[in-house]
Amino acid sequence: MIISASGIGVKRGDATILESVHAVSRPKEMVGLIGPNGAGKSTLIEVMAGLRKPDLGHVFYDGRLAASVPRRRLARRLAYLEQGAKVDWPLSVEKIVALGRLPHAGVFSARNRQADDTAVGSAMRAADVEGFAQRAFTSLSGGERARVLLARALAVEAEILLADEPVDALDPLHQLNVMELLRRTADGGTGVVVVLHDLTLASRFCDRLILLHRGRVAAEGAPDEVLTDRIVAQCYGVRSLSGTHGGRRFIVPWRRASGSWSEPSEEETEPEIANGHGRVVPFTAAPSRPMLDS
Amino acid sequence: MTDTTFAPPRTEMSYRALLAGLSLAVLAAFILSLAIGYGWLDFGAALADVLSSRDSLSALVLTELRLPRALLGLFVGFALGLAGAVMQAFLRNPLAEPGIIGISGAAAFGAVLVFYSGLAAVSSLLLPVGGIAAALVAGFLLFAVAGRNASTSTLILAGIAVNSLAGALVSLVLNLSPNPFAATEIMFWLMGSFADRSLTHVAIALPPIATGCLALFATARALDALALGEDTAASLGFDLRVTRILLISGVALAVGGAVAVSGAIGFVGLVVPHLLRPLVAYRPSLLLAASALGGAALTLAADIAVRLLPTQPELKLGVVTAIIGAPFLFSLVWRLRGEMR
Repeated sequence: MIISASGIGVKRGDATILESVHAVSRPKEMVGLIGPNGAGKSTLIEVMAGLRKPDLGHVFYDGRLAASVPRRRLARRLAYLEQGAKVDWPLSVEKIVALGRLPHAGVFSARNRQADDTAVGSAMRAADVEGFAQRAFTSLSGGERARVLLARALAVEAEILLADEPVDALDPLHQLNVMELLRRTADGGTGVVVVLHDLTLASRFCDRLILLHRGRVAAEGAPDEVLTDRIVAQCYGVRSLSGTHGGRRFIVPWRRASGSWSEPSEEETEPEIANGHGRVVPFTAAPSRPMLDS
Repeated sequence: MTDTTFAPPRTEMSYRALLAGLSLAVLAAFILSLAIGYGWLDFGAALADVLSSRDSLSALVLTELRLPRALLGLFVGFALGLAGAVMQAFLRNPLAEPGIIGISGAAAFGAVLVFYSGLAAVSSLLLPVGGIAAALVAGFLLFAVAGRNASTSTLILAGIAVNSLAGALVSLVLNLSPNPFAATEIMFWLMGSFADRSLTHVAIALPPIATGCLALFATARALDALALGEDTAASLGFDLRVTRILLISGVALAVGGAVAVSGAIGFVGLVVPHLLRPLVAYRPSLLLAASALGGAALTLAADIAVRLLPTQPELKLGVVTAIIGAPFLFSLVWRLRGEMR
């Protein structure tokens, strides 16, 4: 399934959350949705998931207007992983993952129990949560919980997976685990859209990045094109150490770009840092004037 | 830790066993409730008389006194247990209870108004009718405020508003009541009881209770999905506006009907779902039927206890459930105090 969000505008009271945003998700592609806090990433992913009606613009699922796609049918084709999701009852891991099969159920009972069991089993295997399938969710660690909720989303066996900050609050190993799982999911044919704060993970795992800044798309394209030092400084207000390893950029935010909290400015000495091959490369300075407001 | 192989069938088996056990308990309590009362009743002979439609005294006691009481215990307990389970699952809070959205308070006020206006003297049947009418009005009020595009917290706040309004109006009626006797009568009615109800009362209360219970059962799947939060539930294909409408109308009809005919019987809807939840592995959809049956069993049992206790006058059922239920609530808060921050 192809999701195409076009000319999306969202207002909350007087504040503009999103303004004429275009975003597309295609099968087999992993799209990273990045941007500073309050840039509108979560709102955009909610709009794409059909959970929130935009004030302006339209979302299309395979060319069909979102309003004309029944919610139940969409639920079978699109899985959504909520940011900071929690489970309120001490349900077993297996039962939580099985909730991903709800969109496939018939009116009174399971439509195809065997397909459900297979989907739940392979989702649990993929997310590596089989080992504690019978444990209560509330007894799990943060990393285990994240994997269980991801397994729940995978169990839908949807054509599109929208994940809002799935590596939020995870240690580096679990971050890599989750990102690799998302990557494999995309390679398996699913369209993946993932909201991320870690720019290195975004660069390392995504095919394409959409950088939101103040409700607009500030940059879009391959990670190398989007995550230049200038653009990072411009949008995030930080100077970064960066380099390339294995053909992928890594970006380590190092210090604020200026004295103010949000306004980057050009200044002072440029640090020298090592890239992935151990060579010292000069730091690229922030631009002297805004280059993104076009 | 890999004990995945045989667990699923086992939980399903134990669920069936649980429902069977609860059904047996309900049946036993129902029969006991018919057999136990203030006068001596040869239960077998009375039953034989009823079945052969002989108008003996014992047949009369059975059909006019015992049967309505037992049927009300069954239906009201069923409705309260079910509504409590739905409410807790919908609000994702083990301390929620059917009264939280103000329906019970409104139904009580409707009945009290019938008392006060003197209509109750015309026919005692107008009492439940007034209660059901008020519950429906409260339901529509909740729809208007929190029905379509509102959040769950709006629903709770609207419910609290309805509840306090109903409470204030009940106090107003008590304040204005012409004589202490009328006020006392209202107060006693408010305490909740199944005594002195006829089969006509049952006939009035049953249609709304049955319809309401159907609406509440229809939320089962959505309640499972809601365990993952509202946005995730919506992404799983559930229209939460529909769920909210089913919830409000279900509680208005089921709990409204129950309160209208029996007065306020508290804590059943809070305690029963909480006790049974671990036995259904915390799954909201499975809890509904279990909690409904558990509610019926507990209510019938409490109503039997009320008749066995040698107090004069008879203790009101609502008083007994509250006296047992309130300490339970305390212990619940005590246990949850660490989790609920």
